[in-house]
Amino acid sequence: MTDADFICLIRPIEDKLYRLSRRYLISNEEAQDAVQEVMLKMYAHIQKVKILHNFEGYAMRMARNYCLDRLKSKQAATLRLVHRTETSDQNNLDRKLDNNDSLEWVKKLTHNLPQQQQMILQLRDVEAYEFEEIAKIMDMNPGAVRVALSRARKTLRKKLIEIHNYGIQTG
Amino acid sequence: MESKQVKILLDKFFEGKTTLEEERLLEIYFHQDEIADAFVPFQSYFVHTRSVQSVSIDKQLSLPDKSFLSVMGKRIASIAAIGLAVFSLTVFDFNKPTEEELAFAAFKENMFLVSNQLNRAEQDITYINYLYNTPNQSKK
Repeated sequence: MTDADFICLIRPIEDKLYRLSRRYLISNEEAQDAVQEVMLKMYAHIQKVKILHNFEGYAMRMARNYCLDRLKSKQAATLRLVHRTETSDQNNLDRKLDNNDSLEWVKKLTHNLPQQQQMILQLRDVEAYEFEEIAKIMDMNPGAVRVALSRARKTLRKKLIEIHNYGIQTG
Repeated sequence: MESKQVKILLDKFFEGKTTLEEERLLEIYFHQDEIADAFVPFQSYFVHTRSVQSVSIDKQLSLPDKSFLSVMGKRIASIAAIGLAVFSLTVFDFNKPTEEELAFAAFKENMFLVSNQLNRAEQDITYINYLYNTPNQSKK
């Protein structure tokens, strides 16, 4: 595989790798480094195996494993908690909701979920992966993925209703 | 989409039983300006999801070949350095005489001295014999 071929494969999934890494590592800089590392590892790997049938799935799984290793390492203890606002191109609807702090609430509620559920929500609702693909990335079986996803969504539903009702009562 | 249909889809959604296509329909519904009051609490979730989808990496990643080659270059240099060190040690080890070789050299030197001594002794005997025979000839 030539360098150009590799770049054609990695470019479309860079952002997905970044978002997944950021979900794990919180820090933007750490997430960027993670994507760079995964890219290098994928490049080295593809030189050996020549053909990789599920390039994207393999890269996502590699990113997950890399992030988990980083979190386990001592360096993770010094990770800077840098959050960047991710709504640079919001439309009117976003702004309207932002005014009500709704998006911030959703972000906080999502961050309060168990890590595994956060990742599954990310892979399904943000990246739109099928259950089988998520199962491979997360090293789980598809049934367990579905259950975890349902639990996460139900938790969010309950909290969102509570927040909404509280707003109505106090308003 | 009708409210009844949205409710069915939402129930399936929270059970984790919707397909990606059905989830896409929900996303489109929740991005409308007007939605039924009963579904308002969930709108922020779908809007948030779309905003997360727009997050992209803003760092220019170095091309894999360059970085990879530099890493490989360092690795090759390290391996070469180790190889050279091992080779040098091996060569020095070969040049250094072993105990047996030292003993043999000492033995050889001793034998050379003995040999010299014997040669000199033989010359002396020859000379003595010559002197011994010479007076007898003069007497004659």
